[in-house]
Formats: sequence, C-alpha cells, structure tokens
Amino acid sequence: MARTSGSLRVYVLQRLLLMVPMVFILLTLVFYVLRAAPGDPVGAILGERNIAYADAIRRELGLYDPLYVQYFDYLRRILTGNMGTSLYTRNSVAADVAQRLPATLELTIASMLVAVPVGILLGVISATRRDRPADIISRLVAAVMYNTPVFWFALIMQLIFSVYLRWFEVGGRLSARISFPPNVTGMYTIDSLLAGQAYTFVDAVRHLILPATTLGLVLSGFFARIVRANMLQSLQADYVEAAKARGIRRGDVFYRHALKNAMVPVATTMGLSFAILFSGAILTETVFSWEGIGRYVYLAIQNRDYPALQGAVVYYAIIMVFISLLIDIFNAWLDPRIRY
Amino acid sequence: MATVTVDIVRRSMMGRALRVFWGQSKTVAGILVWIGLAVVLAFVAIAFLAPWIAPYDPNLPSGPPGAAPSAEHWFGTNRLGQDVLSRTLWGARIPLSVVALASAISLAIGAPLGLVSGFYGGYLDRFLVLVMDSIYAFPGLLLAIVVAAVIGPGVVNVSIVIALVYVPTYFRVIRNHVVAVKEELFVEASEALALPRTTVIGRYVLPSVAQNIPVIFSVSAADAILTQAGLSFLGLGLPVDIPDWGLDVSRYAGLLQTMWWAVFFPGLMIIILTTSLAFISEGLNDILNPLLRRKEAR
Repeated sequence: MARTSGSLRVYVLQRLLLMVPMVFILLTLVFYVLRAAPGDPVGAILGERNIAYADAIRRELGLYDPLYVQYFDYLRRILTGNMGTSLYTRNSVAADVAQRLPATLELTIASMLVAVPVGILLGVISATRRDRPADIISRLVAAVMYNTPVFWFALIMQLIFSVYLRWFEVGGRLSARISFPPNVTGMYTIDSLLAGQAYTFVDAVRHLILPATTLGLVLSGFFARIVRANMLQSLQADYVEAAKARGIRRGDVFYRHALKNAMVPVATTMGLSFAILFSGAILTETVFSWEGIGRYVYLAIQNRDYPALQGAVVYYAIIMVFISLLIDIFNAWLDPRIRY
Repeated sequence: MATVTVDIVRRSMMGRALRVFWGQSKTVAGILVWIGLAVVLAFVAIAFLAPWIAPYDPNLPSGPPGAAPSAEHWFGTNRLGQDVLSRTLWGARIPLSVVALASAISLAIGAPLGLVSGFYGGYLDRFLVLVMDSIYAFPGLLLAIVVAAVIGPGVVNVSIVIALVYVPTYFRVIRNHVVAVKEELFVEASEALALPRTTVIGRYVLPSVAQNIPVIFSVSAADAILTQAGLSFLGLGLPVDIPDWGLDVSRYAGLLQTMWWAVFFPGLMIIILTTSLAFISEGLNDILNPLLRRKEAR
C-alpha cells in the first residue's frame, strides 16, 4: 500500500513537471498567433479610420517594442496575474474572467449531467445489440446529435420550449425581478440552495435547463460513440467469456462485468471532452445570452476588444491544462496500471 | 530482387485492406459508408450545379419578404425576399470548398511532420508531439476564433484557420502509425538492405500509412464543417452577402419566431452533410479497425 501511494506521488510529480512546458507552449502559441501573425492585429481590428486611437492602443499594448521584449513582458504579466484591462467593460480582464467563470462552470456541469446518462444509455443499447435495429437507430441518433450545429439546435430549442411552449426562459441566468443570491460559488443554482431561497432556485433552474440540455445532448452523441466502442471491446474480453461460461445472467454480464470495465477509458475521455464542451459553450452561451466565458469571448470579438480576447484565451489555456492534469491524476489513482 | 519481395509484402497488405473493404459492402458498416458517400457526392454536385438548379438568384429578391414555404418558394423567402431554397443550394459551396482546401492544407502540413517525427524519433519527435498535443487539447473553435480575428474574413483565410485546427489530427494519427510500421519486418528488411531513408519512407512507410488519410479526412471533415459554420455564425467567417449556411442562420436568428424557415433549412443542410460524413468515418473505422487495432494498441 505504501509503495502504491509512493509511486502515485512520483507520477503526480512527473505530470506536474510536464505541465510546465505544456503551459509554456500554449502561452507562446497564443502570443505568436495574436501578436506576430502576418498583418497588424490592432489595425485589422480597428480598421483604417481610427489611426490615432489605434496608435494609442498600440502604445498601451507595447506593440512598438521589439518582439522579444513584448514576449517577456507578456510572460511576466501572466505570471503576476495581470492580463490588462478590457477595452469594453473597462474592468481588469482577470476580474471579468473571475466573474464569468462560475457561469460557464455551472453550464458545463449541468450539461454533463445531461450528456453522461444519455450517452451511456445510447452507447450501452448500441453495444449490447450490435448490428441489430436498436444499435443502428441509437447510432443514428448519436451521429445526428453530435453533428448538429449547436447554435442552430439552441435556436430551435429556444423557439419550441421558450417561445411556443413557454416552459423555460429564453436567455440570461436569472429573471430581472429576482435579486441575486448571496455570492458563495457564483453558480446561482447552488448559491440559492445554500441560502435556502427556493424561488430563486426555481428561476435559476428555469434559465439553466435549456442551454444545459442543448449542450448536453450534442455532447451525449459523442459519449455514446465512446461508450459503444469501449463496451464492444470489453464484451470481447476473456473475463466476459468466463462470466458467461459460469452461467451468470446476461444482464449481469453486461452491466457488472463489461460496462464497469469499459468505464475507465470512458471516464477519461469524458473528462477530457471539455475542449469540445467549451467550443459548444461559446456558441450556446451566445445564443442564450449566458454571461459566461464563452459569451465574453464572443463579445470581445464583436467589440474588437483585443486584450479581453487574449486574456480570456490565456486563462482558458491555464485552466484547461490544470483540469487535464487533475483528470490524469484521478485516472492514475483509479487504475494503477496507468503508472507503469 | 529484395526490393521486389518487399514490394509484394506491401502490396498484399494494401490488397488485404481493400478486399476487406469491398467484402464489407453488405454489412452495416459498409452500408453506412455507401450512404454517406452518396449524400456527400450529392452535395458536391449541388455545389457545382447551383447556378443551374437553383430556381432563383440567391442574392436578389424573388418574392415577398418573409413568405412561408409554398409551391413557388419551397423553403420560403427571407426578410429580403430572397429565395431560401436557392440560398441553401448555393450555400453548399462555401462549406465544401473550405473543407476541401482546409483538409489539403492540414494534410500538407500534418502528414510530412508526422512522417518525419515518427520515423526519426528523438528530441524532435518529443517536441513536435508536445506542441501538437497542446494545440489538439485546445478547443478547436476557440483557436479558430483567435486566428480568424487576427487574419480576417474570407474563404481562403477561413480555410487556413480551420486547417490549423486539424493539423494535429493528421500529425498524431500518421506519426503513431509510422512508429508502429517502423517495427514491421518489411521496413526492417529494407533498412537492413541499406536502402536510402527517403526510399524507405517514400516507398514502404508512406503507402501503408496513407490508408489512414481517408479515415482522418472523414473524421475531421464533419468537425471542420461545424467549425466553419460556428465561425460564420459568430460573424468571423465571411464577408456578408455570400450565401452560407452558418451565416444565414446567424443573420435570421433574430427573426426565428416570424420566419423559422430562413433559419431551419440552412441548419438542416449542415446536419445532413455532417452526419453523412460521420457515417463514412464510422463505417471506415468499423471496417479498418480490426486491421489497425493491434498496431494502435501501443
């Protein structure tokens, strides 16, 4: 036991060390894409008309310095957590991001709550009935869901469920007449529950359900494919054969033996799918006016808010590397084979 | 003489893959591939023939603004009185040309890097893998947004943006396969014969790795179309007034309640095209995986 936890510690340390070049590469890429790409970003963003303003911004951003000075300046500012000021909101980008992060987190967690069960269900139906009509139908459903443009799906959901049926709200996170719950996590559903404000909670949920379902259903198509593939593989394994030979009931073989073993790689992929989730979140947040990081990115583009765009991307890159590290460590803890 | 032997080995591998594929045309996987191919080819035909098959000019008003679908306008008209069906048919052009161009660029960058990286290994390989993995882990749309915001709109620019997103996909698959193929007997044999490395790569490694290209293409193409549509929707893809599915959805999103058809049909086209591409990739995957699984296990 002591040895196992020791090697886990070594593994965590290795992963932490590997994280440093990964973050560094991402930050360098972001820098070079935004600063050193052919053409001048400020000019491209502001156009020809605003020469004086563009000049002021260039000066503010240090664009007249040599590239390596800009690069080190950029790294130094990231290390000190200062990503500049948004041209549009006039707040520091760090504060803007901190304010919007819980909204995106709330949306992604809620959509995972939709995507995981739906994905597992579809995947298991497919794998246990391989090449039969149920498999073909659930694969078709999964393929259509995963390949649906999320912004279009969001619009259609909005039209059906908020405009025609009036079950849920069209957009935003909370109705205007309702005051914000006391800020603990920044996620309105959780904060209102913590404060015992049932009415606020219901309102927050009515806003959350539609974007979360939209994003979750799209993602569930992806999960269904992974569950199916892994389950098919584990169904061919010797231990499944052995379980069948021992006369264990079909259902038990499927769920207790095949599915459980298939879940390890599935959990990894699900954890790592937040890159897909975030691409979807940008579009979903845009359609539902959900004030998260995705919408912040969208508004930064619309308002040509260059520091905000760069800041949001840098923060996102750092958060992403941390999450993938956590998932790696979680997997190593779950499955000791990974470390060897 | 030895070269001939190695050639036969290589040819029989390719032949086996082809025979498996033809033999599968009555299985679910095979049928998926054929349906997918048929629909994609139909879209390619629509894109080419749009000027002749579209009933109206996509950019000129051809009826009352906001008319519901009818016999004259199957998909209705939009706020400007443009025929939605004509715009939808013309709209196939942008996604298809962007995907074709972007895939060609991704392949041209990702494949050679993957070949070199996988074949030579060492520090170069480690560095490239780290860089590519970093890009790969990044949300495709976010990367595309950042680059598109810098280089500006236009079909070629969007293709470059989308190509960047999929370079790591080509790189990874090809690099991993090269690492596996390098251990194969026929590569070792050709190295033992002291053939030049370019010959080994070009004649023995490349052909057996090349079978991945259709798979990667079909996997990334559906995604690339969604990314292109997403960029258009966010207003970063194209100059206005080009018929494009994503752009049309975004322009009429605000009028969804009064004229749903202007939004519904372009989006539906995206789904049909991307789902067909997904059919191809799922089918190919099912067919080729039994051959590849052993090698990909590393």
